[in-house]
Amino acid sequence: MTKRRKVKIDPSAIVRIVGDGLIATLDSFGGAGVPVLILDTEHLPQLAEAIRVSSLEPDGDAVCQWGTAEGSVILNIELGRPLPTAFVIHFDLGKQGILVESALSARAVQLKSGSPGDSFKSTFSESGLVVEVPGPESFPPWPAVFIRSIMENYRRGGMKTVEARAAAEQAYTAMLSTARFHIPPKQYPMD
Amino acid sequence: METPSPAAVLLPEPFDWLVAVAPLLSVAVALVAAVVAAISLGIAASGRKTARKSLGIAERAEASAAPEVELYLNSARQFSAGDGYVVLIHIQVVNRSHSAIWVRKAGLWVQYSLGDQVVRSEVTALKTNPNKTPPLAFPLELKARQVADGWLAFNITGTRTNGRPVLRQSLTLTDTDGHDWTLDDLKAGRMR
Repeated sequence: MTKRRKVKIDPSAIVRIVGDGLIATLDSFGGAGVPVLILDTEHLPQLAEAIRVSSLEPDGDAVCQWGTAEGSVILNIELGRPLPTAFVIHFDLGKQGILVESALSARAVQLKSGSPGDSFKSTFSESGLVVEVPGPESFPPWPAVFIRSIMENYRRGGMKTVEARAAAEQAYTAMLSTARFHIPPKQYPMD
Repeated sequence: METPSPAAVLLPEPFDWLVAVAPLLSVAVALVAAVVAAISLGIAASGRKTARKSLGIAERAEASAAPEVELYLNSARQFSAGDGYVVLIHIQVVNRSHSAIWVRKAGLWVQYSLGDQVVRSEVTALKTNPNKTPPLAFPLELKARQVADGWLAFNITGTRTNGRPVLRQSLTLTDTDGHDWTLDDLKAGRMR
């Protein structure tokens, strides 16, 4: 069982997601949908540079770790090469929980540099940095933390706890088909 | 003279050795058992301590078993290419250890300024050398006490540093176990 530990996060290393999307290609990650995260790198120029430079290099090194912080989920990434930098992506579970589910399922995220107002469409032609992330086995609090977050939203909307829990579980199950989207394997005609 | 009645006479009871010694014996046995238990506990504790010490020694030995590799710079030249430049480096790699190593890759780390901070970024070696010198091919196997000799070429384009001047450059070789060896602050003479 993975041992959980508390770590202190430097607030200046936290980056927000300003836009997102999902991209799937048959040749990579088994056709799984990889979430595209457009990060607000205005206060972290080193991260913007790392994403830019990585498109010019064949491969890189990264160490990633999932975590929870006050009801939200964080992804700690340390890039070793080609440009060493460390940062923390903050996922607002109310709006971005599906991105965590997709990332855990595909075991990858694509990072793009951006600023508030940028979208998947406006950054589509820009190169991104694909980072392999740990799967669900290394993040035991998932999906309980997400279901609890949905349930809290329903409760704030006036639902009773039992009803909110049932509705949250249903919503999570319904969301899985989108979050775990993947292109089916190509069927080659038999000669 | 009045003789005491037989009921009032207290005759000394015969001394019962068994009754007197049995509690002492049981206390002694308990003491011996306690001593034996304490000794066993001590041995067990010292055994764990010894095991921990052995583990520590083994870990330190493993950590210090990093292969001893020396890098020598024979020459370094650079020439302009497009909006950047190409660096040609002639090096010797000496494996001084008693076991073989596999050098996985070579990278040129360039430093340049990004706003008010300096960043360093790695440029991977070109597959073929522009001056047709014999390149070092990776992965490079170096047997014990073996010396390898060859050239490495790196293309630092203007796009790579976004047009910013390179402040410092160093060559790093990395083996399959993640050990690094660096030739720092390389100065390359200009070629025409």
